[in-house]
Amino acid sequence: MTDVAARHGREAEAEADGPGAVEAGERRPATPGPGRLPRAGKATAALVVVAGFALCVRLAEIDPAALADGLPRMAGWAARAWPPSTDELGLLLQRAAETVAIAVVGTTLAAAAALVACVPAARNLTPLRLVRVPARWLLNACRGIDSFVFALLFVAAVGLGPFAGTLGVAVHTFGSMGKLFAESIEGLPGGPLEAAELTGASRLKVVRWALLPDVAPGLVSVGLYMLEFNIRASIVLGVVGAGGIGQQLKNSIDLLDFPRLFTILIIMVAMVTAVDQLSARIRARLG
Amino acid sequence: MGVHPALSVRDLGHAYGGAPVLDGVSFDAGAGEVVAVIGPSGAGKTTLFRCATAVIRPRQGHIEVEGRDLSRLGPADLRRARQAMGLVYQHYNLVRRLSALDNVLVGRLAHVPTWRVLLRRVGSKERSLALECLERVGLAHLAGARSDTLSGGQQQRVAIARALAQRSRLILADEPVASLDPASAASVLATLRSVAAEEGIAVVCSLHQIDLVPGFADRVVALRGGRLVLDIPAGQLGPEHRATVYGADGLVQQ
Repeated sequence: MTDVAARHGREAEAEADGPGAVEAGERRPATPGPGRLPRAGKATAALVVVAGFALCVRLAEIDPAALADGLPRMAGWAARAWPPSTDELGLLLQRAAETVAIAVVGTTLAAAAALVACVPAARNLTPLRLVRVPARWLLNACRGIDSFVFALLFVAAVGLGPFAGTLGVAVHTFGSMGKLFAESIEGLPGGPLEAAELTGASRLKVVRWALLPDVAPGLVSVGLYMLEFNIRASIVLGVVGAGGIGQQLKNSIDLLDFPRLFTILIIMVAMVTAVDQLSARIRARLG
Repeated sequence: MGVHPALSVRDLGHAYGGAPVLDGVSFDAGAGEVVAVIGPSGAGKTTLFRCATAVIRPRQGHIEVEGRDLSRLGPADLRRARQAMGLVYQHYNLVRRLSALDNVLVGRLAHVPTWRVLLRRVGSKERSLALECLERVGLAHLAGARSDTLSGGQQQRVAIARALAQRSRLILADEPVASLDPASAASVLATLRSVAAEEGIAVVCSLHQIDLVPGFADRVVALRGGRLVLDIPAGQLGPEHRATVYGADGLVQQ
């Protein structure tokens, strides 16, 4: 790996090519930009947008009549859902705790892996494209596939239950977190890092002593944000048999047990709100 | 130390693209000597410093630190050479969220075992050494203060303490007082002056104000348009040298 300092030197040389960059910037308005379309062009563009949207409505099978039929049915369910059932409150709370556990453990595993992977993915730490680009690909691939999809795969691999859900959350979150961590690191000023590197200290020492203290609050903030997101994502995982309260949700809908469903919805909203509030408070203190 | 000067710049030349920024610059800095490098902005001072730290490789000539040609050193030897070279920057370059003492300890990282750095337990010997360096620049009482709560002048003195902690035999300071008010600037330059005199460190310091040189430097070299136009004892610096350094236009501005 080239060191931070050497990269700085190259940047300085790149700056000397400044006039070229300015030219490129000035050339842009010459090609017709969004603000410069002739009137006929504008009409055509509007037509394309409207037609495209109409096609999407068609593909989404939007059917107001079906909604009109279905709404009264839903209203009937809502009426039958009252009062919420408390028969199985103990079990439901235990399943809710399972959902929180999936999110917490999944996010923690992801954070540990992302902390390692963000170093080769951050431009200012790894100028070498040969390393950085594959690292970014790996993160993007994990990020691009949802926890839900990973959970399906892990259910097939390790069987039904929260463990499969945890693994699903961990792999997807690893991708998102690694990317956000790398971006936090890239946002740091380069001067203190260069100063530490030019004392002749090794890269690992520089990262630990001169980079981590400044970037840590940002990383914790990203971690909490991902935890909030994962609480919501973990609820859904139960639907594919990956544990947690989502599984109970699906059972209740399948059995048309609306009072029980109502209780589950209340627990879900309370759970998400509590975690969001707690996380927001911690993040506000990081400053 | 020894027969070689702490820093020896030999026929140094560099260019960005086609435009030369340094052209045949040569001068030495001996142990305990303060050399002021003056010149208007764009004269090549920063490029000179980046060559002296081997951050950029000059196109022509070379730099010797205690007799060793930087361009001939492999990565491991270059790292070792940098350990004895303290750098002071215009914008201090401290780690914002670390205390003053922890910032001084950055200068010790190369000498502390990796596991101790990872656990952030450098040991009491290193900490007391760092504290001594802070005391040396008059900031021992602020050892625990987070560096981004310190004034500019204080931050720059912490940066000098960081260079001292490296046990540097050479300090390179690139426009160390350009962002400071006159009082802070005076205290930073006095600190550099005293570490040179008392620790026998060679200090090479760029300044764009010629007025700061008397009472600070032993020798003054001037760059203009990338060329060395002056190399005299600071005591001989007179009003007539302004035109040499800044040109006729600069004379009018001053």
